[in-house]
Amino acid sequence: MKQTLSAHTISVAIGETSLLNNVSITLPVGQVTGVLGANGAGKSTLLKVLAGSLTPTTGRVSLRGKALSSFSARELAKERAVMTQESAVSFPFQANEVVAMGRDPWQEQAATTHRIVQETLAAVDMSAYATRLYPSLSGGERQRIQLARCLCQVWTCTTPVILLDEPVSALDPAHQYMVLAAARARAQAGAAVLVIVHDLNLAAAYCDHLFFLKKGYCHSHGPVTDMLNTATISDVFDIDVSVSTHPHSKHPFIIPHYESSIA
Amino acid sequence: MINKTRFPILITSALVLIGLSIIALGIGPTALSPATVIHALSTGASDDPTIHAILFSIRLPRILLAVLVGSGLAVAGAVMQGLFRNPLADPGLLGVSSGAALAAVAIIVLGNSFLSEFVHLLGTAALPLAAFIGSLCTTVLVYKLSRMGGRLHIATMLLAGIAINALTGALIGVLVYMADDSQLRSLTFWQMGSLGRASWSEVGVSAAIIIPVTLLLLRLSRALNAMVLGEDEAQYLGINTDMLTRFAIVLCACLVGAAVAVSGMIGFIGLVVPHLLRLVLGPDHRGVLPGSLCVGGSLLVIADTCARTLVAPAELPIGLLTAAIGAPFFMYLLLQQRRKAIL
Repeated sequence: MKQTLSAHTISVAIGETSLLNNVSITLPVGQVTGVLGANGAGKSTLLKVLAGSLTPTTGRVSLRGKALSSFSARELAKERAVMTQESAVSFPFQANEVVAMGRDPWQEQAATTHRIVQETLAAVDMSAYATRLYPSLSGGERQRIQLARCLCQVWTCTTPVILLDEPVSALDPAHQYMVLAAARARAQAGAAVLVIVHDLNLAAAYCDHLFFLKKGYCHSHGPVTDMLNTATISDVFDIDVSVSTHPHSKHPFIIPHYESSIA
Repeated sequence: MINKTRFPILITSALVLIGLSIIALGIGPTALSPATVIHALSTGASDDPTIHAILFSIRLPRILLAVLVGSGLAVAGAVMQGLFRNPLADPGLLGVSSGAALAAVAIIVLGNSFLSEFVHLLGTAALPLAAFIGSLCTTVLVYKLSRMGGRLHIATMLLAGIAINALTGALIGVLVYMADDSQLRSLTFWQMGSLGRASWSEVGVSAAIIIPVTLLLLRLSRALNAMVLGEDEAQYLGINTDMLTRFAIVLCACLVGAAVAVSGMIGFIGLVVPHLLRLVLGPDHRGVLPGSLCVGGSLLVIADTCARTLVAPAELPIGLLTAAIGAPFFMYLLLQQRRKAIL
């Protein structure tokens, strides 16, 4: 299996607080890796380390076997796109202008940018909002524009790394499925995709691999079918569930036992 | 997304700047027609030695200085607003202006006692130079404070700027309290700004700083566009954000320092001109920065022409005029925006 981005035994500590301990993760080409865990488990920290904006206290991150730090910001930008939870844009740009910023590293013809922006807007079902002012969009619409910008950034790269931090947290169900399907389509076209999600059934349906974090440690990781069992889920999330099989897709299907949750 | 109207508007604003400057050259106690002005400028001479002296020794340096200072302040404001991702950011915010003010007030009040050697050594250059040094020192101080953690934090930098502003404000207060009547007069006039001291040497010095620095800042527009997404997000787009911030801050300090040194404190230009451009051209810095250059220059030429003619032979402080002309217009635009629910 071809590897693109990988982190080896990374730890992150800010002062006395340890955020990540001895975590190793590899993002295989052509697959969607889901990172799951409770709030504060270190998911976003892991994503920042993989994205290169946070240098781990110990351990190393490499892209195609080369240390991440040996790439310039511009080189990285052409093969690695990140969608963070930050969705503020401080000036009233139009939605399509925000998406077009994703093409900034490429220094290409305006017509090329225009075409790619149209394609990515269509991929997140936001074509109709192209000329709307970004601050006037709803939370979910902004999230889709940010995703379009992220996809746009590596649209012309054949084996990009795409890191998505909770890309569906503000979306309605239809757009949740659509966005994760778009991420999956990019993986099938050659991308290595990492996605942080909270919904176990979405993870079951759209991810190939799952990576469970608990209190800064890697709890366990592996193919979706191996990971989604009652024992693991109850250990990672402190909830009681039953695991069934989806009648159509045959993916694992998680049924929560609401009455025994920690409420 | 490609703003088709941006280019024609920028060209128009550049032509307006040139036109306004030519008209302003003809305005004054000795009125000259634009044709006379253009003829004299193109031949470099004039039949009448008096007109020649008025044009080339008095009005031209002053108007060129107005263009330089206005453009410099407006571009510095636009860049800082982009950098801080805050449309209300202003060169004054970082302590650049207040640092310059403190140094200049110190020269005026302590010039014949505590700082007499400095003043003796530099003569008339002492005050502008002190203003320039003051602005650079405070900027570096704010910058050092905000880089404590190894990384530049914009929020910390804003807070450090506020702290520095408070401190310099207190020190200026002490100096003002110590000042005698004649010092107070000169102090007040300087703090309200004036282009009355314009001469070719001032034009030369400020042009040598403002022109190259402005051209460098114009090259940052794409990077500043990416910064509106957030610092991390800009970094993911391939922008070296720490380098960008450092570079832009030092260049803005140069611009504001140079402008304040030759003209005193002229507020409002750096805050409002970029706003106006954003309302007309949209927030893209590829339009806002060059547009601010032209409109900032034009605005200061208009303001200075009013300052030297309205109460002739006396002069109004130009800082009062820039605020008086621009602030009501700005309020009107703010209301318009509020109605469209954009701001």
